Amino acid sequence: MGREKEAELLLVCMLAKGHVLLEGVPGVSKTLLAKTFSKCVSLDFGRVQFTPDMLPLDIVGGFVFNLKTRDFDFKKGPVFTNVLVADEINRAPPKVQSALLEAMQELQVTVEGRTERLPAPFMVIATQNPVEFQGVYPLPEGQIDRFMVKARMDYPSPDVESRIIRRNLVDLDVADVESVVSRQELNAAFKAVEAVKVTDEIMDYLAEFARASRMDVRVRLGASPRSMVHLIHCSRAYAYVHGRTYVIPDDVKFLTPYVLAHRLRLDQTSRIRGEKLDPYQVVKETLDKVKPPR
Amino acid sequence: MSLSDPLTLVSLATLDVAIYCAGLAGLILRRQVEFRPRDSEKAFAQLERSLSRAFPELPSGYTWREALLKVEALGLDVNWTEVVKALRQYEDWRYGAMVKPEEINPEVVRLARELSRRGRKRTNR
Repeated sequence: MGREKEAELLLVCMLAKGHVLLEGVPGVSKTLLAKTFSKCVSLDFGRVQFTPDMLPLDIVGGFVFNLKTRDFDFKKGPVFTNVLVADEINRAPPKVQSALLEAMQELQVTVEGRTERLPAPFMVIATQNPVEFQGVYPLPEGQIDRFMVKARMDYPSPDVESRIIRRNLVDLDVADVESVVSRQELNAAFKAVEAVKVTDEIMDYLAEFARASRMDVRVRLGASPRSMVHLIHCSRAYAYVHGRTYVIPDDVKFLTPYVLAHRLRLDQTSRIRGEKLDPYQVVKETLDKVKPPR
Repeated sequence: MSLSDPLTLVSLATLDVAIYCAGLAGLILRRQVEFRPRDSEKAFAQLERSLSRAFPELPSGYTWREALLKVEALGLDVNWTEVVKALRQYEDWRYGAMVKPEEINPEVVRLARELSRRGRKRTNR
């Protein structure tokens, strides 16, 4: 309820075979959204609550001694699922974050020389509290870049909030949520997204935008080629979700803040001058300056 | 031939009027031709020019859908269902490599004309 935009972003990201980072204060339904989403799309779901004392093996799994066979068996970790909700990823120590992020990149896990492929599709929905809270390890730039999309989840509007409170007078169970798409339909959707057309002009527009973001004096680290690749994949999925077989500039413009804002590094000297720069705003202003194909 | 000669004066006046009429006719004809695009691509190109004239503050990064949303709020006497239909067909061709629409939607031309008129009013203020 009240999370239609975030739900759409999750769907788009999944069809684009990417991972999502949801950021928001506690209690704004980040985990509930992820759980409900995976149930709706008929995918297996796993959840990991990150804590500061975790080890990488708690995520990827490891070898456990079997007393019966007197041999070591590989016990798969929670990462072996279709949709993994990584709750409060910024509470995990850097080693654990790296283990997960490596699995996200490689889609496989290697433990003591044994490599295991992760199931397909594989999507991580990571949640994090804003870094102002205590006891967190902010994700470094190289790792935050692995997330195709970052969505900020703010408090709901007053009328949505009152509906939420009213609805939760009765206990809700995610098990009651019904799937709306089968695995076969999902596989067909993946194939259809790959067939969505993108003209050369749209791709030139992306390259021009990336260049403009890097030339902005307020930006220390602008759009990378990887971010543009992520953006084009997202745009194709978005076009498909909206019933089109081709990408239009509006798709790109809508998705760019979600795909790019978390990757931008802004010039910190603006803070010294008392200016508060918001990366989403900087992205939108750059989009206003670059002419799309018309 | 002397300027005090009435015949000379009448001839010069007639020539003067003829020159001004020709100029005015040329201006009117030019504006009519401007709004007689040969195909849908030219129609949308004309609409783009009219948008720039009517809304010079529009940022260069605007898309068709964004601009038309802004224009719709003006409440112009245009059939928006037809304009949206024309835009969809144009997008099918422009971004989807589908067949170029042969017919020019008259509502697109009408919209371009209306916006151009607005643009001229803004300039003349």
